[in-house]
Amino acid sequence: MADTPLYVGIDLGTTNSAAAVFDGEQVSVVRNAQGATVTPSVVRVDKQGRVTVGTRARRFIEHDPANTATEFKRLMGTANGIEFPAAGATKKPEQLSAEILRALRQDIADQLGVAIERAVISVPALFELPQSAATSEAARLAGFARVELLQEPIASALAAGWRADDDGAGTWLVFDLGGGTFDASLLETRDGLLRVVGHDGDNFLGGRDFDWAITEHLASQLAVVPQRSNPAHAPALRALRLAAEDAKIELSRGERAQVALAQPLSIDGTDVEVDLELARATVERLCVPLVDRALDVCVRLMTANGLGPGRLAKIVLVGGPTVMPMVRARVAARLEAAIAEGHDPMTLVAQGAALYAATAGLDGRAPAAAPATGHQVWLQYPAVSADLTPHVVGKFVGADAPARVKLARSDGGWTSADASVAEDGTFLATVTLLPRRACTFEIICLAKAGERVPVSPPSLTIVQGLTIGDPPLSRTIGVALANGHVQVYLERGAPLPARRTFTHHTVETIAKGSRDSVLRIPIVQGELAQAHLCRLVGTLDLVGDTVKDTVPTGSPVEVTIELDRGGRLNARALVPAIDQVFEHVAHLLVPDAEPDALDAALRELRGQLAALRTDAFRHGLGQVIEKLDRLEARLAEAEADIDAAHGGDADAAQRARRALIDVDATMAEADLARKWPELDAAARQVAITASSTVGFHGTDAERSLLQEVLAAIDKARKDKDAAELERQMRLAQRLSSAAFNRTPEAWEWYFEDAASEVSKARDLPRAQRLVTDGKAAIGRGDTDELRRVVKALWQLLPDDSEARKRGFDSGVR
Amino acid sequence: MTGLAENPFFVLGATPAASRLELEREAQKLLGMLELGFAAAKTYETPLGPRERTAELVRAAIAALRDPYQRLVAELWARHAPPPRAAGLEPEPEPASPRVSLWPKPEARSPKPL
Amino acid sequence: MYALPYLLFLRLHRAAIDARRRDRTWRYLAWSAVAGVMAAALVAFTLVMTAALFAIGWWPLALVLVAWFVLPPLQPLVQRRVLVPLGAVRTAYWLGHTATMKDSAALGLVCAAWAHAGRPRPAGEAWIAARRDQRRPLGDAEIAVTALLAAARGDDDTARDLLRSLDRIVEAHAAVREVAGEWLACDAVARGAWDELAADALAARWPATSLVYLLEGIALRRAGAAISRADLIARWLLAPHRRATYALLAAAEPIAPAAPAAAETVESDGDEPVAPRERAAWPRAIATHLELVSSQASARSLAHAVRAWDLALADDAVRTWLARRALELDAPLGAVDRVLREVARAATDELAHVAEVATLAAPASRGPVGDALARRLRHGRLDALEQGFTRWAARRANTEARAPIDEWREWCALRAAYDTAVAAGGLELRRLAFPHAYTTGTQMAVWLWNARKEYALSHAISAWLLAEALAVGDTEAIELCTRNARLAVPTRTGTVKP
Repeated sequence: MADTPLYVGIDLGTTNSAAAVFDGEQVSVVRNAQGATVTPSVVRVDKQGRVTVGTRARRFIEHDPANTATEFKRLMGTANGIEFPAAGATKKPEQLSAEILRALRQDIADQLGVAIERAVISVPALFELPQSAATSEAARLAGFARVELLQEPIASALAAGWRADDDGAGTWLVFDLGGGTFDASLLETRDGLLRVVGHDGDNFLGGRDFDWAITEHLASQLAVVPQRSNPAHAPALRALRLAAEDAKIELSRGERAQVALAQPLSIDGTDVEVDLELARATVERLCVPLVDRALDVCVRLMTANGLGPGRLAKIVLVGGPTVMPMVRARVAARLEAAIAEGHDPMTLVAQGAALYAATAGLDGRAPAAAPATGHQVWLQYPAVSADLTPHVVGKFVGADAPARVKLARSDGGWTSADASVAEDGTFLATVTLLPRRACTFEIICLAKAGERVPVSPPSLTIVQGLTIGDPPLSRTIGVALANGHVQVYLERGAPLPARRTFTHHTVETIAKGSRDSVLRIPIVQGELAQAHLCRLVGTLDLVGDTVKDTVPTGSPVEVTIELDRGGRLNARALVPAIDQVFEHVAHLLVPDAEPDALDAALRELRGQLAALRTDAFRHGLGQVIEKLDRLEARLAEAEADIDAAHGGDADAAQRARRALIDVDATMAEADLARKWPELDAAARQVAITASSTVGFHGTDAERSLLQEVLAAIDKARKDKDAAELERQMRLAQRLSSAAFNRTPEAWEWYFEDAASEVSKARDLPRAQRLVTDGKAAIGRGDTDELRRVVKALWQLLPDDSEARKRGFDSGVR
Repeated sequence: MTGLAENPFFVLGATPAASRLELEREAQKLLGMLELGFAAAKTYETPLGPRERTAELVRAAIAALRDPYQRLVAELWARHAPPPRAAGLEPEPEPASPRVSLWPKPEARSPKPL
Repeated sequence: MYALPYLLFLRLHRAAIDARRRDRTWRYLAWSAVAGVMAAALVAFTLVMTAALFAIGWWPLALVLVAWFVLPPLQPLVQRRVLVPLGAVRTAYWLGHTATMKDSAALGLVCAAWAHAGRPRPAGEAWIAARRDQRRPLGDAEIAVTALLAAARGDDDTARDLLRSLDRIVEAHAAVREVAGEWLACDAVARGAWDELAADALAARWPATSLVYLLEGIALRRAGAAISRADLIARWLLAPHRRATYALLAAAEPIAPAAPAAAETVESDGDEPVAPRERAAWPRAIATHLELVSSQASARSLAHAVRAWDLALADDAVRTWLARRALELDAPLGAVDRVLREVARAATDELAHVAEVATLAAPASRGPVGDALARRLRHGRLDALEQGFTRWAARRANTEARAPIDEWREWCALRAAYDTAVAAGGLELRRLAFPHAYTTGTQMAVWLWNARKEYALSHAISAWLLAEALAVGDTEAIELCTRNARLAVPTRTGTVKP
C-alpha cells in the first residue's frame, strides 16, 4: 500500500460533502465515522466553543439553528461572518468549510491509515476568483499542503466516463442539479481524451427552490401563514422546510407522505399544529416548472454547440434532486437520450475529483524523504495517460550520470530499448502501457561499461485511462478599459495555470509625488463585453507617490495576469517609461449585499425596465418586449429574495444581487437594440437642420464640407456604426452652429439666453449694465455691438456656460 | 493565439497533419522537458524567427488543438506558412559614422563616458 | 569709479555673447573672439586691481573682488570643466546666478541639473526638483530642468520630448535654451541622428554654444552644405571636448544620398496587380502578411496585405477545403464561417497593431478585413484621443490641480497623441478629432490662465488650438482662439506680446 500512490478527491458541496480515493485501479468512496458516504455540510459551535460537523451537527438545525451553520458555501469569498452566539464566536465561511474538510481528511486517514496532504477539491463551474481563492484558503486551514480545484461537471464526466464499458466516444451532457445551482455541461470523449465542449447554467436554480416551492405550498395550508420577509417567522419556516425536505425524499419512493411536526409552530404568538398530507403528484406539479427551466438551459447549450435533440450519447445526472423519478423521466424525454445508469449522483463528483488527482499527478500522501541510494533522477511523465505509448523524460542530478537507461514493465511483458543519456544528464524514453491498467516500470540504469547501477526512485507508475487536460478557467478574466469595455486576457476554458500580457496605454497622467493621482487597473471576471456587468475581482493601483517619475498620459503599460491552478490571481504592471513594476494587487471580496442597497437597485431597474417597455411598445419591437417580460419575471424572483434578505438571509441577499446583475446585463442588450432607432432619427434631424442652416448662412467651404459630412452620416447609418454616427453628427452640428452664428437672430437668441442667467454672473452690476447695453443694441439693430455684449456677458457667467451655450460638445439647441 | 508567432503547431513543433494523439504526446513530452530544463525545449521555430517556449504556451497550444474550431484556425495559418526561419541573431548594422557621447550619462547607459 | 571699466567690459562681453547666440554665420567666430577678448580683459583688469589691493593691504576686499568680478566671465568654463565632473549641484546653482542678470535663478537651476548629470544622486535630484517646484508660473527653465533630470536617470526619450517642447512656450531664457540645444545636439550625435541635427541647424532653432556650433557644422557638411573644412576646424578649435570630437571632425565628409526609394503609392482597387495564377489566394495572404509583420511596414505593404486577406477570405477553394477538414475533425455545423470570421479577426488585429506602430492610414480596400481595419483604426485613434482629453478636462471640473510641470507634460503627451493620430488619419480624421480637443482644450486653457495664473502654459494650448482650428477651417474656433492666443503673456523675462 505504501508504494501505491493515493489520489484524493473531495466534493465540498453546499448541502453535502464527500471524499473519494483512487489507487490507480479502483475508486472508492470514503465513509465517515457514521458509515455514510456523504457528510452534511453543517457546522455547529456550542457554548464551550466545541465544533461539531456533519450528521451530528445537522441534528441541531431545528433545535439550535442560531449556532448551527448550513449552506455557508454560498457565502464563500464574501466578507460575511457567521455568528455563533452561544460561543460568542464569528467564523468566516472558509473557516467553516475548513471544518468540513478537516473532518473528511480525518475520515480518509481513519480509513486508509495515511495522512493526506494533497487533494483535488471540486468547485461549481461558475465559481469566481474570490470564491476559488476562499476554497483554497479553506483547504490550507484544514491542513492540506497543496490542493487543486476542479469544476464539478468535469469531475462528474470524468467519473462517469471512467466507468463506461465502451470507450465512451461521443458527446455527453452532465445535468448537475445541486442544492443551490444548476450546471449543464457538454463534454466530448474521443481517443480516451475528455474535453469540455461547452457550459451553461442557472445560478439561481437548485434543490432549495424545490424545497421552498413545497414549503410555501405547505405554509399556505396552515391556519396562520408564515411570511419569508418577517424575521420572526424564520424558525417556523425552517421547521417546515426540514419537514418538506424529508417529505420530498420520501416521495422519491412512495406516492404519499405525511408532514407532521411533533411540536406546534409558533407564528405571531399563535400555536399552529402541522399535520398535512403531501401527494407525489402535488410535488411534481410544484417542481415541473423548475425542471423545465433547467431543461431550457440544456437545450440552449446544445443549440449553441450545434447539437439537436437525440444527438447525445448519454446524460449523466448529478445532485440530490435528480433522484426524483419525475426529474429523470422528464430529462430523458425532452433531450431524447439515455440516462447513464449505475452512478451514485451524490458521490460522483468526489470520485471524479479523485480520478483527476491522478491525472494531475497529485499523490495525496506527504512526499517521503527519498532514501539516497544510487543516482538521483528527476522524472516527468503523465500519471494517467490515454495514450498507450507516452513519453517519459528524466534528468540525472549531479555529475557522473549513467550512460543508458531502459524501462521494464513489472509484469515482465515489455522492456524499452536503451535510451542514451545526454551530456547534461537528460534522457527521453517511450513506454508501452496495458489498456485500463496501472503499469509500474522499473528504471534500469547502465553505466558506460554496461554494468547496472542503482537509481532513485527505482520505479514509476502510469495508469492508462480517460484523461482530461488542465483544469479550465471557469470565467473569462480581463482588464476593464477606460471606455467601459473589457480587454480579455484569459478566456473561459483557458487551461490553468495561465499567464498573459497585453500592452495598454494610460489615459491620464500619474503625477509624481501626488497621492491623489491614481491610475487604476481594474481586473474583472465575467463573460460580457461591458466592464460594469462583470465582477471586479481585483485592482492594481499605480499611485503618484510611488512612481519614480511622472508618467504622462498615453504611456504604455504592460499588464500581466497570472492564475494558478488554485484560482489565485496575480497581476503586475510594468511601466517601461520609468522602468518600474507595480505588483500589489488589491484582491476584492464578493461585495456585501445590503438589503437596502438591493431595494434601491431593484427600484432603479424597475424604472429602467418600465422606460424600456414604453419605448419598445412605441417602436413595436416585439423581440425586445419578449425579453423584457422575462426580465420582469426575474425581478419578481429577486424581490422575493430581497424580502428574505430583510429577514436576515445573507445567502438570499447574494442570490438577489447576482440576479440583479444578470437583469442589468440583459437590459443593456435590450437598451442597445432600442438605442439605434433613436440615434438614427436624431441623425436625420441633425442632417436636415445642418443642411438648411449651412445652405442659407454657410460659406462655400462649409457647404462643401457639409456635403462630405452628410455622406459620412449616410454611410454610418447604413453600417449601423453608432460611434461614427455620433462623431459625424457632432461635426454637422458644429458646422450648423458656425453658420447660425452669422445670422443676427443668433446673437439676439444668445443674448436673451445669457440675460436670463444674469443673476449667476460674477459681477452683477456690470452684467446688468451689459444687459441694458444689449437691449439698446437690439433696438438699434447693431449686431457687432450685440456680439460684444454677449461675449462680455459670457465672461461673467460661470465658466462652462460659454461652452454649453455654444453647443460645442453636447449639441444644445 | 496569434496566427503565426504563437501558432499552436509551431509551439508544439508539429505539422498540421499530426493526429490528436501525436499532438497530446508531443505536448506532454515538451511539458516534461521544460519542467526539467531541457535546453532543446526552450525555443521553438516560427516563420518570424525563433521564440521562447513556456509551459503556459504549450498548455494553451494543446488546449486550442483539442477544440476542432481552434484547430481549424491554427491549420489555416500554419498550413501555408513558409518554413520556420533558422535560429540565429541578426548582427547590428555597422554605424555609418562614429557615435560619441558628449553629455554626461548615467553609468548604466554609457559605460565609457567622456 | 574704478569699477566703470569693469562694467563696460562686462556689458560688452555679454553683448558679444548675445550677438553670437543669434548668429550661425562666420560672424559666430568673430563674436566669440570679441567675447573672448572681453573676458580676458575682464580677468586681466580684475587681477591688476586685486594685486593693487593686496599691495595696499586690503586683501579681504581683494578676495571679494576676485570672486565677484572673475567668476561671471569664467562661469561657463568652471561649469563645464569643474562643476559637471564633480557633480557639484549647489555650487553650480549659485554660480549660474552670476552669468545672467534677469531671472538668474533660471540658469542657476539649469546649471544645477547639468551638474547633477555628471554625478546623479537622489539627494541632488530632490534638491533641484524642490527648487523647481517653488518657481511658478511654469517657464522654459522648469521644463529644461525636468528634462535634464530625466536624462540623468537615463530616460533620454522623456528628456528629448520635453526639450523639444520648449518650442511651444513663449518664455525664453537664451542661456537656458543654449543648454537645451546642447543636450539635443549631443543626443542627436550619440544616436547618429545627423539629419535631425542638420534640420535644427538650418532652422537655427536654438542659441548655439560653441560645441553645438561645431556639431551643427559637421551635420550640415555631412548633409552636403557648403561648409569648408577650414571653417569646421575653426569651429573645432573654438569648441570644448576637442579630443572627443576629433573623430567626428575627421569623419565629417558629405554622405552620398542613398538612391531615392521609389515613391510610395497606395494602390487603388482598379490597378491592383493581378494575383499570380500559380499562387493561390490563401498562401499569398499568409506570405504578404508575414512580409508585413516581419519587416518595416509601409502604406504599400499594408495595402497589399489587406487586399490579399480580402481575396483569400472570399476564396472558394479555402471554403471547400475548410468544409472537408471540418468534417474530418468532426467540428459542429457552422464551423467554416466561424473559423473564417476568427481568422479575419486575428488578421485584422495584427494589421491594426502594425498600422498603429508605424502610424499608417487604413488602405482603401473594400472587403471584410479592409472595412474592419479602417473602422478599428479610426475609432481606436479617436477613442484614445477623446478619452485622454476627457480625463484631462475632468480634472479641471474636479479642480484637481497638478504641479505645473506635470500639467505641461500631460498636455504635451495629449498633443503628441493628437499629432500621431492626425498624421495617420489625414484631414478627415483631424476634422473629427478637433471639436472634442477644442472644447476640452479651451476649458483647460481658461482654467490655467484665469484660476491658476499659468500664463505661458495656457498660451501654448491656445496657440496650438488656433493652429489646429486654422488647419481644419473651423471659423468659430478660429475666432475664439485668436482672441485667446493674442493675449499678452506675462513671463519672468518680460511680457510677451504674441
